[in-house]
Amino acid sequence: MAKQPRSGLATLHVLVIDDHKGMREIIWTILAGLGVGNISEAADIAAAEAQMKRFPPDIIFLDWMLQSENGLEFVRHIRALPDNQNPFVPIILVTGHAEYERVVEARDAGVTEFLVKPLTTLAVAQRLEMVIHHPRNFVRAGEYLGPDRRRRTRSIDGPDRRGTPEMLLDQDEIDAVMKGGADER
Amino acid sequence: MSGDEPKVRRMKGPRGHPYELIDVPNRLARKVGDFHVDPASIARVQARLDALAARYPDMALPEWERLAAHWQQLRSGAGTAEDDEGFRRIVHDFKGQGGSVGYMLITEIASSLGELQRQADLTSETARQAVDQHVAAIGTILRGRIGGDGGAQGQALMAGLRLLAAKASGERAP
Repeated sequence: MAKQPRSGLATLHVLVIDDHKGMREIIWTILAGLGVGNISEAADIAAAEAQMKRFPPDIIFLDWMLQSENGLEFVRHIRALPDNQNPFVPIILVTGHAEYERVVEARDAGVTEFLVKPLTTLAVAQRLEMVIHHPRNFVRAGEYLGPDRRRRTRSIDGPDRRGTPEMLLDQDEIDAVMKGGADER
Repeated sequence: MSGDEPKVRRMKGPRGHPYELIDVPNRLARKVGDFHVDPASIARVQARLDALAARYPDMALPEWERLAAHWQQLRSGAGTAEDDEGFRRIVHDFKGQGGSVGYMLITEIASSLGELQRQADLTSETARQAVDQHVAAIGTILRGRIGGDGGAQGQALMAGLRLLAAKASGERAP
């Protein structure tokens, strides 16, 4: 059997938080296949917090609908952590909800990227690539701490409307999320 | 200073709203180095997912049995809030999982079933029969290990289920 080429991802630690064992297995299979070296799993927020203390993750994959918990509350909790606990960790939200209002709600909680179910390998790989090679600045505006809701690659010339209510919607980005991964396989 | 600390710039929006723009050093890129999506790794992962897909029906059948049990309780009028929540959750899980391992028809049916739950009056017999058919179809696909979109038969089944769902949704109580 041919040996799998060693990927730079071998050094990464990814934490997968999902209450459904089958879904964790699917994400684990994709991440391991892409070459991620360390993958931890948690079925709920308490287990995730314990994992994060033991072995801080580089990236988190988080299901929105945990058993009796809301994944977005966990996102807000992480973003509010003291600086030495990495409130800037990239969080990729895994969700079956691609409705406009849901996407905006999640983004405004401080999610870094979205991954719409059903998953595709390409979509997972692209989200990894985004958080590794195209990270965003963070913004603290009022109650919000999270990734800049405009991509770093965009010019910031012209009116800067960060922190104003109308800036919470970035149509290009929301359209891209709502398109999802359905045609990416 | 290690150079690894975030740099914070205090800014003001055009209406005077203060905010902080925080430039977080890209520690991940330094750690990972050159990583880009390539077709070879995608194909490698697909082979692993195919192996997982072969086990999927066996993994999912117990969950389908729970789905059917919740529905029977709800249909009979003896269902509890837990049955309702359990039913919704399992439908949602099927929608997300099926297509992720190559069972697109499961995702399609679960998606239609979810829509039915939202749109139809589930106390009507038409809607109940539509749910019956959706639940039964998921079981049939899992037992028959019908992957992909199910081919022509699968798509005919899906078209029939959509018709039932549309009819039930049209009879929604005011």
